Amino acid sequence: MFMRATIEKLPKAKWTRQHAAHLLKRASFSGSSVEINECFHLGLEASVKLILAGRQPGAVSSPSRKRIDPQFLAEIPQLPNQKHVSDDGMKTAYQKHQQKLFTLQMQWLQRMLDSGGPLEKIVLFWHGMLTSSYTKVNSAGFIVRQNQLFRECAFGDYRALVKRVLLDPAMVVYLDIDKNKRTKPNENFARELLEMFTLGEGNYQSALIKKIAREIVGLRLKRRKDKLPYETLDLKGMEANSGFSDQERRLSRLIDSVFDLPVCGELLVRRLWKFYVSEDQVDEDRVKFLAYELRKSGWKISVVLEQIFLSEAFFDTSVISQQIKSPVQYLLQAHKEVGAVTIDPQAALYTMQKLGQSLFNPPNVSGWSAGMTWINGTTLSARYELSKIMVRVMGRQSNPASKAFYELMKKNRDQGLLIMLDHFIATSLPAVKSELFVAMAKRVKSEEHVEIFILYLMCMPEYQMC
Amino acid sequence: MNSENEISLSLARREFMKTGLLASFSLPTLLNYSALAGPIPKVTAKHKTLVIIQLDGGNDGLNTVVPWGNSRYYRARENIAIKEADVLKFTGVKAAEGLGVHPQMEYFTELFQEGKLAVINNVGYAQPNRSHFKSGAIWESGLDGAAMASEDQIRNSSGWIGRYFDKHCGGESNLVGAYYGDSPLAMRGQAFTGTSISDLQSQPFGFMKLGEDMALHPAFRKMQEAAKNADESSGEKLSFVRNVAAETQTSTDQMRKFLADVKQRGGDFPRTKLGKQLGMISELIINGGDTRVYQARIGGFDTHSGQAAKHARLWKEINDALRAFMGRMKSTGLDNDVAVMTYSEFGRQLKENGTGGTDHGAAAPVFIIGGGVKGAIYGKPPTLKGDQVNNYGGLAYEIDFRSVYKSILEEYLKVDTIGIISDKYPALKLF
Repeated sequence: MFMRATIEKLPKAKWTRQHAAHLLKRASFSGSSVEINECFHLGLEASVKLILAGRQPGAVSSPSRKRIDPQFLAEIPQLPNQKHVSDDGMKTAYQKHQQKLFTLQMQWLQRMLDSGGPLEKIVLFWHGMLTSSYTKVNSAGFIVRQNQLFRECAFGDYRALVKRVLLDPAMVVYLDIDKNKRTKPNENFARELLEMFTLGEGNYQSALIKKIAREIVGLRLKRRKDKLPYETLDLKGMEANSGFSDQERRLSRLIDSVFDLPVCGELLVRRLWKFYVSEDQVDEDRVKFLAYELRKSGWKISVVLEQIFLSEAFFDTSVISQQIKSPVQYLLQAHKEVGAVTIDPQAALYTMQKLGQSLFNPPNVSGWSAGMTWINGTTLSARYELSKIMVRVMGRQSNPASKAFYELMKKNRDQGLLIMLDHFIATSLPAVKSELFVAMAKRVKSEEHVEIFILYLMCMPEYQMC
Repeated sequence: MNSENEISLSLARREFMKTGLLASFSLPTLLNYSALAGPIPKVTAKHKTLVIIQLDGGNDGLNTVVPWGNSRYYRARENIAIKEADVLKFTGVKAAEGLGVHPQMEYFTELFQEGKLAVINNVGYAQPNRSHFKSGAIWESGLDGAAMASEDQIRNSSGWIGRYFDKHCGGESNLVGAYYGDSPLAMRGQAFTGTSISDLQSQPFGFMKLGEDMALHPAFRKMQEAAKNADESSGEKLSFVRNVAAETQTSTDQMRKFLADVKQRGGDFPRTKLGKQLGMISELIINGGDTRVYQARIGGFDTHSGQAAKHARLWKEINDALRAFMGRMKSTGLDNDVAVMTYSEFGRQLKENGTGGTDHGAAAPVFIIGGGVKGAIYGKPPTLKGDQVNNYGGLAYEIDFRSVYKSILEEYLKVDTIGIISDKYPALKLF
C-alpha cells in the first residue's frame, strides 16, 4: 500500500550552501558561517551521518560532556506545604524554586549552544512529546534524570524509550502513575500513553485504556531522605532478582502489544515531520512509508530522520525558511548570529518568561503547540525586546558580528550588506524593504550604526522564520 | 530631510491612508473640539467605558477602608492603625457604621455622600495565593479554577477582559483595550491583546539609540508598514507574522497619533504618575475613542516596612487624580458612562509586622466609582474574628472577585457573560 511512495533523495548536484544552512538550522540550532561552509563541503550524506551521531557538522570541538553538579541538585528544596510556612518562608521557597528552575534552563541552553546542537535538538523534541513539568514533578533531580534519559535514547529505539520514560520518576509523578488505586485505576495515564506517546487520538479503543490502567495499579515511588532523590529512587517490586518485577514485565509486554498495532509509529513520524520539516499537512503515504521503515528497523529513530534529512522534500522551497522559530530556536540562533559563545542570562530569562516557551514547564501534557501560536502582538513585541538584549550582548563580545560586518561594509558596502542580510534573514525580503535597507546602509558610519542595523534586521517579520 | 526619507515617508503615509486607520476615532469630533476654546462641551458617549486602576503590590485594605469601630483592628496594629480621630468616617448609612477611609481619601467620602461610590468588602477567592505574580495572574484571568492552576498555565490562558473583547467586540481593532505598562493578561483574548498607551514620544528620523522603544521609531515603523501587502508568494506563515507585526504596529501608531493630537489640552490633572495616566485616559474618552476598557497602574503597595508614610502618599495620589478625572467626566456629561474600578492582587495581614508594615494577606475591598453604580457598602465589614482570619493572618474572602467582574459586565456593560465568567459566580447587583 505504501510501497509506491518511497522518498526521493536530494540529488548530489543540487546540494548548495543554502541547503547546508537550512540543514543546520533545522537539525541543530543553526551554525556559524564556518560550520555552514564546512557542512557544505562535507556534503549532505556525511553531514547527516554526523548529525545522527549527535554531532554538529563542521564543529571544531567534540560535543559537550558537561554534567550538572550533583551538589547543585542536593541543594534544591522541595516546595514546602503552603499551609505551614510563614510569609517570608513562603516567599523565599517560591523564589528558590524559580531560581532552580532557571538554573536548570540555563544549563540546558548552554548545552544547546555548545557543539552538540543536533543531540540537544532531539532532546528538545522528546521534551515536547514525552513531556513532564518541573512545577508538577517538583524535583530538579527527577527532571534532570528524565532529560538525561532523552539524551541517552536520543536517536535510538523509540519503543525502549517509551518503556523507560514511563517508569522514570519524573513521568511517574507527572502523570500520577503512583496515585493509582485498585478501586479507581488511573485511566489518565493510559490515555496519555496511547494518545500522546504512541497511537494518537482516535486510534485506540477504550478497552485498551482500561487494560493498561489495571496493569499499573500499585506502582509506587520510594524516596529516601539520606541520599539524592534521583539516586535513591526505585519502584515498588523492582528489587526482584532480575531487576524487573512481574508487574513491570507485564507493562512491558502491554507496551509491546501497543507497538504491534499497525498504526503505531505514524504518530511519531508526524510529530518528527512537524518538528523538523513543516507544520503543513504531511503527505499520508509518506507517513505510512516512514512508519514502516521505523518498524522494520526495530524502532530506530535515526532511520526516519536519515530518510527525512536526505529527502528532496526537506529542501523544498515550501520548507526552507517557512517555519516560525520557537523561542528556544530564536534565542540559540541569535546567540550564534551575534557571535556569543555563552548564553546570556538576561536574554535566557526573558525568553523563558516572555516568549511563551519555558523549558521544563510545558503548558500541558501535549507540550507546546508551536507554529503560529508562538506569535501574537505581545510575544512579537517581546521578541523585539529580546533582539535589543541580543544586540547589547553582541556589544560585549570580544569578536562581535557587528565589527566583522562593519569591516566588510567599509571594504565593499553592497557586498557587506548582502552578506549581512543573508546572515540574519533566511528568506528573501520584499523589494520595498530591501530598498529601505540599501538606503539605510548608505548612512552607516560606525560600528554602532551596524549594531542598530542588525537590530532592525532582527525585528523584521522575516527574521522570525527559520 | 533627504530624498530617500521622503520616499519612504510617502510610502508610509500611503499605507497609513489605505487602511483608514483613524476611522475608529471620529476625526470630525476631534477637530471640532480642538477648535473650541470656551467651556467644555457636553459629549455623547458611544458606549460605556470601564477604567481599571490596578494597585500593584498588594494594597492594605484595612488601612484603606478602616474598621474604626472594631477594637480588634486597634489591638492588631498598635503602631500603624489609623487613629479613630483621623479616620474620615462614612455617615448616613447604617451599613457604613464603624467604617471610614484613610485621612488622605477625602474625595472618597464626597463620592460616598453623592451615592457614587460602591465599597465592596472582603473581595478575594478561595485558597488564596501570596505570590504577587500568581495572585495577580489569578485576578487577571478570572477563570474558574485559576487558583489551582500553575502560574504558567494561567499566563498561557486568557484574561477576563480579553474574553469580553472576543465575544462582544469582534471585528473591532485592538484599541478596544488600552493600558499602561506591560501587556496585561486581563486583556488577552483569542483576537485581542489591547494597545499600550504608555506615554511615548517620537524621535526624529535617524539611528535610534538602544534604549528606545523600537515600535516608536519612525524608521522602524516605515519598515513594518512597508512589509504589509508585499508578500504574495512568501508563504502562509510569514504572511501571518507580517500581519501580526503590522497590526501591532498599526494599533500602537494609531493610538500614538491620536495622543499626539490631543495631548496638549485638557483638565487640571496633578502631575503625578497616576494623574498623567488618568489625564490621558480622560482625553481619549472625551474624544470618542473606541476603547471600552482602560487600565491604569500605580505601584508601591507592597508595604512590608514603613507603611504609614508610603500608604498615605499613594492614596493621596489616587485621591487627587481621581478627583480631577471624575470632575472632567462630570463636566463633559460622561460621568454615568464611565466607571472606575480599583483592585489589588491581595490585601495584607491583619497584624502589623515588626518593621512598621504589613505582610501579604488575602481579601481586601474593591471600589467602584461612577458609571451609575449604586453607591453603598456591599458585604459586611470585616469582623476580624478568628474564623475570618486565615491560617497565616490574611482575611478570608466573602465575595469572589469574579462576581464583581460579572456585575460590571452584565449590569454596566450590559453583555452576557457565558464563556467569560463561570456560572458559579453570581453578579452582585451593583448597578
